Amino acid sequence: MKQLRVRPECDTAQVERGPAFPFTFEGQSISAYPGETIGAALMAAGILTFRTTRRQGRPRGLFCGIGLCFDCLVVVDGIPNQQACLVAVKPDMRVQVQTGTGEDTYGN
Amino acid sequence: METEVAIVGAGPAGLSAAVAASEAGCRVTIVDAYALPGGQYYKQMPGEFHPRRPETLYHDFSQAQQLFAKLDDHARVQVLSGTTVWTVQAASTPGDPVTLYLNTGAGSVGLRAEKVILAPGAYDRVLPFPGWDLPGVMTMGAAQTLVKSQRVLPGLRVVLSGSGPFLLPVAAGLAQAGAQVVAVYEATTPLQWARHAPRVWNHWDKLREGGDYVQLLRKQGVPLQFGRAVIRASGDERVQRVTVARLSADWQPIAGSEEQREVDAVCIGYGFVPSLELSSLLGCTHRYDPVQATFVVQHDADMQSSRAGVFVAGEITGIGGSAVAMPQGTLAGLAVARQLGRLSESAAQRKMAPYRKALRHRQAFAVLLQYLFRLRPGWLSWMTPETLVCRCEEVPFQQIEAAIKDDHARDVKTVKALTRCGMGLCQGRVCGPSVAAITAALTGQDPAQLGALMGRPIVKPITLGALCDTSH
Repeated sequence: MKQLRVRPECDTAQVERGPAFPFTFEGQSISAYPGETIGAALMAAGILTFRTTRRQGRPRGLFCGIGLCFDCLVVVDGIPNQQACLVAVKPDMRVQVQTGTGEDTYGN
Repeated sequence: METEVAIVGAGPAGLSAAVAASEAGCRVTIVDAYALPGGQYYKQMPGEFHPRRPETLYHDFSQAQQLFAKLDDHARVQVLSGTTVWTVQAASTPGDPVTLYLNTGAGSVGLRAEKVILAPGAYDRVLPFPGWDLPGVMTMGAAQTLVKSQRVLPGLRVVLSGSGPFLLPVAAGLAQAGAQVVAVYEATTPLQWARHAPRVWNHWDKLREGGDYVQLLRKQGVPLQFGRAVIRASGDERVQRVTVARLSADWQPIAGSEEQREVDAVCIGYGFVPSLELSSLLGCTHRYDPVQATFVVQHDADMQSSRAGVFVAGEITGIGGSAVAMPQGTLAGLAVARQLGRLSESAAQRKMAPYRKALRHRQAFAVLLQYLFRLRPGWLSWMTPETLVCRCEEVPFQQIEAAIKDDHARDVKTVKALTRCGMGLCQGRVCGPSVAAITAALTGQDPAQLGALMGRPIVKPITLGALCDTSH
C-alpha cells in the first residue's frame, strides 16, 4: 500500500506518535494515531471520497482542510455533518460516507 | 460571560493583540475555532504528537515560541479554543459593548465584550476549472495543514498550481516530507515582475526567505515553472491527471500548449481571501481593493474600524501575511488598552511608534506582492459551461451565465437568488469571490459596485440542538 504518512527519514521534526488504534470506515477497519483528524487518517489509508453530493451524487473529499468549505462531511457514530478535517479520530469510532444531507444515516 | 477585550482568531494578529492588551492590564478572551492556538501560520501539531525537533516546524520558530510563552504567562488571557463565533449583536449605540455568540461545541453562549478585536485571518482563493471538485484536488492550505500538522501527504505524485509566494513553502514542505512534487506552476512570470525590481530594495530578508525555498526545491529536483497553470483535472472518482497550459500575460491558455501530467493530488491556491463575515455583520465599512480583487475592512491608524470599539488586525485589512499581521495586532491591542484607560495617550504613542514603523516597511512589501501576483482575467476562460462554480449547491458556470444573460441579474445577490450560488454550507466562502468576478465580467461592471456574498446573520452553521442548549 502507498505510504502516505510522512516516513521517519523524511520527517524533519521527528514526530513520535502514540500507539496506533483501529476505527472503522464503511465497516472496514482502519488504523489511526492519537491526535490525527478523521480526514488525515482516511487520506493516510488512501481514502479520498468522504461524502457524495446532494444533487448529482458526486464524490467529495478534503478540500479546504481548515473547516470552512464543508466538503469533507462524514457521518460519525450515526451523527452526520461532521467535518473530517477538524474532528479528531478516536478508538473504535464508526465513520461512514455521508450521502447527500446525511439524513438517512441519522442515528444508524 | 463577560470580558474587557474579546479577540476573534488566535493567529499571529490575534495573539499579538492579546499580548499587547494583556500586558497593559486588560482582561482578554480569545475565541478560536481550532483545537490549539496559532492560526494557520503558527498552526500547532496535535498535543498527542511529540516532535523531537520542534524548531523545524516554523520558519521563525523563536518568534512563535515567544508569542506562545507570553500568552501562557498572562493570567489575564483566556483562550477559548475549538469555539466559533456563530453570530454577533452589534452595539445599538456606537462604542457600547458588543455580544459575540459562541458555539462551544456544547451549546451557545454569549460573550459580552467592552472592545472587540477581529483577527479571523484569511483562506485560500481557488479558481474554478473543470474537475476542481474531484477528490484529490485541494487548496494549498489543506495540503500544508495535512503535511505540517498531521504529517500525512496529500498524495505521492503532487502538482501545485496557483500564484503568489505561498506556493514555495508548501511545495518545499511537500518535497521535504517525501512527496514527489511533479511540478510547481506559478501563473505569473519573473519577466512580469522585473520592472518592479527596484521596489524590493531593503526587503532582503523576505527575498532571502523566498530564495531559501527555491533552493530547497532545486535540491529536491522539483521543477518550478512560470506562466503556466493547471486548467483541468480529470479522473474516475478521484484526480488521476491534470492538463497544464502555458498562459498569456492575462492568463488565457495558449492554444496547443497543453500537456498532461499523471498525478494523485493537486494543490491550488491563488492567494487568499479575507474572512469578512464578522466585520460585515458588525457593520464595519469595507472598501473594494481592485488589486486584491476582494473587499477589505477599512480602519484608522490605530486599527479601529468605522465602528467605535471594533478593531481589526491581520488579513481582513488586506493580505500581508504574519509580518504585517503581528505589528497590526500589537497596535490594535495597545489602542484598545488606551481606550480602556490602561495606557495614557503618551505611553500608548510611545509604545506604538516602533510598530507603526515596522508596519509601514512591511506593508510596502505586501502591497508589492499583492500587485505582482494579482489575478488576471483570463482564468474565466478555464471554465467550461458545466464547470461547477458553487461546489455546495452544485451550480455550473452556464447557470450563472443564464441568470445574467437571460434573467438580467446585475449584482451578486440577484445571481445568488436565481442560482443558489453561495447558499450552501460554506455560505459563499469558496465561490463568493468567483461569483463576483464572473458577474462583473459578464455585466461589464466594476466589482466594487456589485457587493459580495457576505453579511449573514448566522456566520457559521450551528445545529438546532446547540442553539436550544443555550447557557447564559
